[in-house]
Amino acid sequence: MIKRSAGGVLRALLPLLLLLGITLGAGGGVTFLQSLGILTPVPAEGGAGFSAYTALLGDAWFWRSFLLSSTAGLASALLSVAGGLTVALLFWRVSAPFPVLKLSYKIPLILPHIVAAFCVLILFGRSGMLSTLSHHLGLTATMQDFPDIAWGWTGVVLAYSLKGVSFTMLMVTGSLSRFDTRLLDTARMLGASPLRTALTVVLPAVRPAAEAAFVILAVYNFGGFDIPWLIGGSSPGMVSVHALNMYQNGSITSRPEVMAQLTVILLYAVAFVAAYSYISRKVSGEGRRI
Amino acid sequence: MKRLLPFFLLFTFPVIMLLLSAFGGVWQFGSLLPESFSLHGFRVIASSGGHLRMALLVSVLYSISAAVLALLICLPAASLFARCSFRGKALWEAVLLAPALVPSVTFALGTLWVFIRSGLADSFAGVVLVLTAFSYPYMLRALTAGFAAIPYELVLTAENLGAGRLRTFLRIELPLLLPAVATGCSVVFLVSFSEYFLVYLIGGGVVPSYTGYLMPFLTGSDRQSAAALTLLFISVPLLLFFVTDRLTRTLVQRWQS
Repeated sequence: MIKRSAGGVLRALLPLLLLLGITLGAGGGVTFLQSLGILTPVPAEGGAGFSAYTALLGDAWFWRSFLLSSTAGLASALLSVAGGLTVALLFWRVSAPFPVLKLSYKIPLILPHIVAAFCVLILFGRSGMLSTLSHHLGLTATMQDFPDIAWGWTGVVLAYSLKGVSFTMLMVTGSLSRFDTRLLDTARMLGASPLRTALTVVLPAVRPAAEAAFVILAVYNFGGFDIPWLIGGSSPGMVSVHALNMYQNGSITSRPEVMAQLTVILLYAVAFVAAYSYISRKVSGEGRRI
Repeated sequence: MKRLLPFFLLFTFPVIMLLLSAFGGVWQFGSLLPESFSLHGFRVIASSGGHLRMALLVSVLYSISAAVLALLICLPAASLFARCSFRGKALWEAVLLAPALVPSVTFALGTLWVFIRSGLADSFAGVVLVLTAFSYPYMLRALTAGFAAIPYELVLTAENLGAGRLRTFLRIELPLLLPAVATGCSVVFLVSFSEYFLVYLIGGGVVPSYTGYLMPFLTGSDRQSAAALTLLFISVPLLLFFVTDRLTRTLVQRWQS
């Protein structure tokens, strides 16, 4: 390792820092300032302060939005990690005559979010594939009998999970490829069932990657915009959709509340990651990085 | 083979459904497969004229520009993180990788405010800047791993033999870094090409985008056209990955011989 002085470090990081400064840095700064009623298009009522935040905290509508976003983020992350881990472990040691078959799990990764939402509509919508199947099996007589799961909270969770399962597999495949498979033979020789081997031998090896996938998905899916905008509905909408609707259709005096909601999304992300690193350090005795 | 079939189906199922929707003509409720096949969706694409082509072209252009810009600004930082030790290194690395984690919506409106005042809003350059800012962490990660895999002795040897910094980079480091560059560029391209919200907000409708063109179709009732346009959408990154992969292999082979 070469030692670098502060000047050398700064020179190497300067292009990145400049870009971040004019985009995220300035943008984040303006977002926070406007949430305080500073730099707003029209002067905030009652001057600068935290009134937008106190208004949000007392707003039942916002809390419903917040609950919707956080549960959608957590549920989709849980579903993704559970599904991704199960599939990864089931097919990990199946040999493929064509390696391309084993790479097919990456297909949902390249689907843009808005396409994932569209896929949920054609798969889970009332006129979609699942509804047709349930009609064939005699479970539902008409389209209207099929539950409307493609829209709203369930639709959002399904769309995020469609991509999340692939993402989890991508994350854990790296750990699996480094896994010493002789441990599996040892476990079998000692009489462990495949399930027990999976739970006590393989799972600990992929746990850090799976946990990282969970945290990334829970945070990202909390504040994501494209999918809830398309199929999430608006009464109440997820926090991001609620804030953007207020920005586009609300009064110009509501700007501090819009920006306060966006700041809440950021704080949620920071708090979630911080809580995770704290807990994982307590449990395992060492810090984990995302 | 038989055991992998469910695996394959699981992940290709959405694409199979898109294919069926795109080529299916009459598809009444209750039929598992379309009753007839038609090319209506592709006729809509063929007759869409300049708007679609322009949207596709501009989307490809801003995504490539974001990938190139991300590559240029991440090179010095990645080399630093891979080879140097300095105070606060872990913190810098964590902070610079964070934008990939943070939902873009949290900064986007503030960035728009800044861009409106600096004349970058509603411009191609503004879209490229903001897309780069949200997708460069993937490039930084790929390049840092790439630089770490290059033995530093090679660089020292080249410099001892009298090669300048630029020549060492172009002749020694770049060829070895090529797979990492290809990975980073592919991911940045994909993230930028798939992005709807940021382009719509910062481009303000003035900068055409394929996602913006696609959006009304996805929410509309003409599912056949929506599915056909979606297939066209997915084919662009697939084609690009194929070309990039081939190009990287050819270049690596040429340099090695």
